[in-house]
Amino acid sequence: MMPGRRPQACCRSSPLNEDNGRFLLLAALIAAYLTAGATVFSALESPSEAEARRRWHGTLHNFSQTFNISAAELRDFLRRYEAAMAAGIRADALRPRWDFPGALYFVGTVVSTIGFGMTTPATVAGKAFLIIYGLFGCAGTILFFNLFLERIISLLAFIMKACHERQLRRSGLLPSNFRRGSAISEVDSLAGWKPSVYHVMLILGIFAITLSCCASAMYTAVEGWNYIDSLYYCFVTFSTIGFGDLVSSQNAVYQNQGLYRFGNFMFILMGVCCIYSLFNVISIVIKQVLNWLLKKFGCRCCSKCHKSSARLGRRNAITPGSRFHRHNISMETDGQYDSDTEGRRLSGEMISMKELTASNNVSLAILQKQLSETANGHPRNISMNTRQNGFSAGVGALAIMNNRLAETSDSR
Amino acid sequence: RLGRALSPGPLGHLNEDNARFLLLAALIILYMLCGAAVFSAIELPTEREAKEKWEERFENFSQRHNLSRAELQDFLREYQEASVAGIRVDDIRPRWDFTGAFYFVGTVVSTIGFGMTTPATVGGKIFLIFYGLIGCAGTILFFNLFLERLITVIAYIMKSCHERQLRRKGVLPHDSRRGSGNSEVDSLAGWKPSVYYVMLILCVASLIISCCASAMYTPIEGWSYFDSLYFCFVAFSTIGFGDLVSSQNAQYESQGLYRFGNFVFILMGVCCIYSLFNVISIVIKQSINWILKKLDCRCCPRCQRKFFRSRRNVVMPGNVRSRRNISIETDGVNESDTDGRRLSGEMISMKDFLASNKVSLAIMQKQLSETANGYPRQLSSSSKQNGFSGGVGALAIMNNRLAETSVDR
Repeated sequence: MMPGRRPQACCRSSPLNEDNGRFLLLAALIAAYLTAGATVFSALESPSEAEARRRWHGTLHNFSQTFNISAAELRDFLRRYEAAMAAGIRADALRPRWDFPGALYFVGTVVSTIGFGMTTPATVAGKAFLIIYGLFGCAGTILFFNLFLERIISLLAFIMKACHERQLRRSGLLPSNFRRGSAISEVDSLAGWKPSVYHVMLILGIFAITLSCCASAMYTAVEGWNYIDSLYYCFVTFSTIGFGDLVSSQNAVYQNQGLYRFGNFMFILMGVCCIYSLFNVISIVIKQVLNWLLKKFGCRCCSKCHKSSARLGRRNAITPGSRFHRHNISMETDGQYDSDTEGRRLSGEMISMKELTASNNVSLAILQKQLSETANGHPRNISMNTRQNGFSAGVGALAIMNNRLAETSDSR
Repeated sequence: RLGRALSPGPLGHLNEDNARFLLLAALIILYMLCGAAVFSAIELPTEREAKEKWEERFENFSQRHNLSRAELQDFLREYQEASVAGIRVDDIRPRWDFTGAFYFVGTVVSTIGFGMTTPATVGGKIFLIFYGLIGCAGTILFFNLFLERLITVIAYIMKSCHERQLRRKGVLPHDSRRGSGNSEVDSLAGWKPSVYYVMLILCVASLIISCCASAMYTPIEGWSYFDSLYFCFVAFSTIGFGDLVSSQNAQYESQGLYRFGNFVFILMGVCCIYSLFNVISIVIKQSINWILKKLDCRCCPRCQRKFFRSRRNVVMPGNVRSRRNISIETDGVNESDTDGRRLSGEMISMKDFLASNKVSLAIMQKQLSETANGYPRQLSSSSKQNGFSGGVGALAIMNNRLAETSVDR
């Protein structure tokens, strides 16, 4: 077997492109996760469903008996009530649905895709307008969350890097009186340092928990839910699932109503941003697990790959004799393999003569710039190093973090 | 003033990324206010009418059967509680048998969250929090991977069509082997599909899926076709109000087939609409960049002509000092810059510089060897050479794959 053969090509006649393999593996895992979850929820909730059903039949029966109303007539009345509930009416008076604040709350649930459902359009015009409105509103809000994710990762990376520097400085690895940007040794020891995805996940997780606890404290006091229900509500809302079984700020009147409504808005906004970022960071970890699984499957089929996979299994690493197997590699795949050394990925790419000359010019320009900047002590040269060689890759919001976290930029 | 990202003006010395973020926030708030006004105007009359009608019915019923308001209200409150527990007047399918629970976890991980089934026990609620944390993250990854695969397929198909077109027009010699002619590489190098084409394709795909799904829901659920379309949009965008939910009746004809069709349609629909949202968000991002540019240039008339040259990080004499406020993170996000130019502006260490020299040699070596072997995919790989990880969220997938997001125009 030739060295450099991709692990997956070993044992199948039609090797699955790695990206497709990852996608299908994820689909299979999610299907398994859904099945397992369904089983657990079914076991947890079926008894109480049976209980609630029994209780309701009892109540219906009693009422029918006590007031001498036929069951059919009662059912008819309840059917009307069901329709009224769909229009937002409840036994106890709620705040109006479609006054301006109510409509604002509704629009908020639409663009954030939370979608509680406590307010829904009843007219045809409203539904039609919703479709058009939602198309652009949701897209814009997705952009907003993605920009927020990018900003917060930048902020965290910056803070953590500053702490790391201070740590290095204190432990004497760096002379404490040098200017940033002047010493190559500093650059070397800090070059390529990026926060680990696990640290970022931890920080975001702590922040999310703190936010949820504070919000729950507010809801427990104002809405009268118990604390667990409030936490549950916070999770369901911030993850944009938005069942609608519990919805905040629905009563007709509250004490300090303006303040509460403002607090509700702020908490939901910050919570959704935070949990969205947390989801995306967790999905990096999941992606790494998938890559690891794929590698294990690949290596199991081809035991000889084991040793060489680290060196040669990387796609597009230039190795003698590996040309033959390059046919099935789509270059789009390259972009996904975000744990590759970007330098090596770069070295494997085909370019035209034009690009080659361009990159030579680039090298000269880089040198020129470095010299000029060094003379001026540009403060941020450290973090720039590592972005030199990357290119657009990664998946969705993951790409924001593609070159900013340790797990997603260095080859380890 | 040359080379400064944002001249002082209404935005002060705001970093461009932050300015973009704040501008987007302001626009979204404005969008929400306008939307609220429109919805309020459309729906308020109907709400009043519904309330009046219900009041009337309530009165009639309580009078007819000689019930006090309080008693009737108590009864309705009990029904409300039962309703939250999933009980309806007419029998619906059980909520928590296996298929019902499967539908439920589906609405959880996709974040649609209809709400027709919700956990009632404390154990269920706590388990939901942990389950949802991992499930939603995995499903977001799934949708992002789907988006990436979809863009790849679309780009590949469009590129082949583009090649065929060029070949027919005689721009490429008919018998040139891919990978051998410089001219072919030149004319196709860097060609990528436009975001507008991809958006159009996704729109058409979404429309087709929605129309087919609605055609399925209308006869089986008994909704009007328009209501089915509305349901499709609400479900596929993961908003998931829950006012209309498919597959809730106790019994259907061809039940297994319908449930399978329901699952497949919702899955494909969410994938398509999610991708569509992300592609639209690129367009929105470009609009915001354009607005920022306009705001910037209005304050500084001299910028107008020189704007193209004053791209951040272009190496120019004399503009070194103004570089201080530019965060490097900005670079990654300004995806309409020429990637090559962005590359030229980056600071690197000597180590990286030597590495990139080696890279150039390796590239040349590989090109020579591959050319000898006629590597089929030379064309598209050239354009990915110079990009680097940038862009925002799912936008980054498209960062170097669409014409608007990779080439300087």
